[in-house]
Amino acid sequence: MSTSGINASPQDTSEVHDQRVESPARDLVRATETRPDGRRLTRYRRVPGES
Amino acid sequence: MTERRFDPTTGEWVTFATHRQNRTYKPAAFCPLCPTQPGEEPTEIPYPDFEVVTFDNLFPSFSPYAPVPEVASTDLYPTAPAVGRCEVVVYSDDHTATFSDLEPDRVRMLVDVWADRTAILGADPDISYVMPFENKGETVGTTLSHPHGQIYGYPEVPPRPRRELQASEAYHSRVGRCVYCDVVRRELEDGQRVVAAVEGWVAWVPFAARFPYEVRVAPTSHRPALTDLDGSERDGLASILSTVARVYDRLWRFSLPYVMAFHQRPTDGDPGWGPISHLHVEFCPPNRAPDRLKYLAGSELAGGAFVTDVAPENAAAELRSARMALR
Repeated sequence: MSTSGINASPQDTSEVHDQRVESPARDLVRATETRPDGRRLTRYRRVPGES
Repeated sequence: MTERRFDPTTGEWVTFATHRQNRTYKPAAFCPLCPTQPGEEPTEIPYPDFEVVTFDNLFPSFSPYAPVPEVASTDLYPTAPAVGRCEVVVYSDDHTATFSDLEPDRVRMLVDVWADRTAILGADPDISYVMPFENKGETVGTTLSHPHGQIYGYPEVPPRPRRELQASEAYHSRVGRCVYCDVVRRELEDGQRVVAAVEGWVAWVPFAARFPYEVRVAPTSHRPALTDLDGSERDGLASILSTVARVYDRLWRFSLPYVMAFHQRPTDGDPGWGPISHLHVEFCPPNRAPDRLKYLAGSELAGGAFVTDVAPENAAAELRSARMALR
């Protein structure tokens, strides 16, 4: 069975901005940044009142 | 080497990602999925705290930047770039938590995230199938204990979902209905294999379970994909997934390993998938007893024929008892 295969890659990341995730997602925003190596990272946060 | 090779003797693609041999393996002191604290070694997640984060796996099996195969494609032995996506989904910044420990609102948030990633990855024309999954526990190969799952965006429908869709298409051609719609109805009417039910969802041990304590979860209405669920259906999915995870931990009073995976409508844009795709989640724990594993051996691996040690009706009764003990 497969495994994650994750390792740390300390990199600076690009500037990011919150985007609201459309309903029916509940009060959710995402902010996506791209690392210098091209990998994307998305942070999801609950922000009451966003939906 | 990162490439896909087609086996003409089986009709299946196999992906080679040899760089994964060097991936992080059970690090003793440093967790790459924990938050990065000021002044400390950076992890994969550059925040001091977070709720849910997804990111591209550093050691992906499939990548948008997949190289040209090292071996040239021929009629007998086709090869192809391993194009696709492999994402990690980190459930929490709490290193010691498991999925079953998460608060209901966090599980509901994960449902939203899985749906959002399905929409985003599925919109990529190079991706034909999006499968969120979780490998929980060392027994099923997890190399990091921090609570997390993964999402694979495959370049074609993988073999098991494809076989399910073929079976569903054959059933639909024969009786004119979705096979999962009929299975869900039958399981709810019968009840002896049901583990849990909430508004719009049911969890049951399959009639022909491959693993002794396998559980399947599906909506009672025909919903092909995570992206088709409305708000209340997402509430129900979060609730029943959390229940199944907690039931497993209660069953033998330890944190039970499992593989959990979502099967849903392919994302290649073919409208023909809709009537025969019924979203469902498969939980496959490897244990057949607290201290014994169900190994995939001769019949299962060589013959593809599962032999199961526990009657599904008995397994469901044990799991229901564990569910009752949660209260």
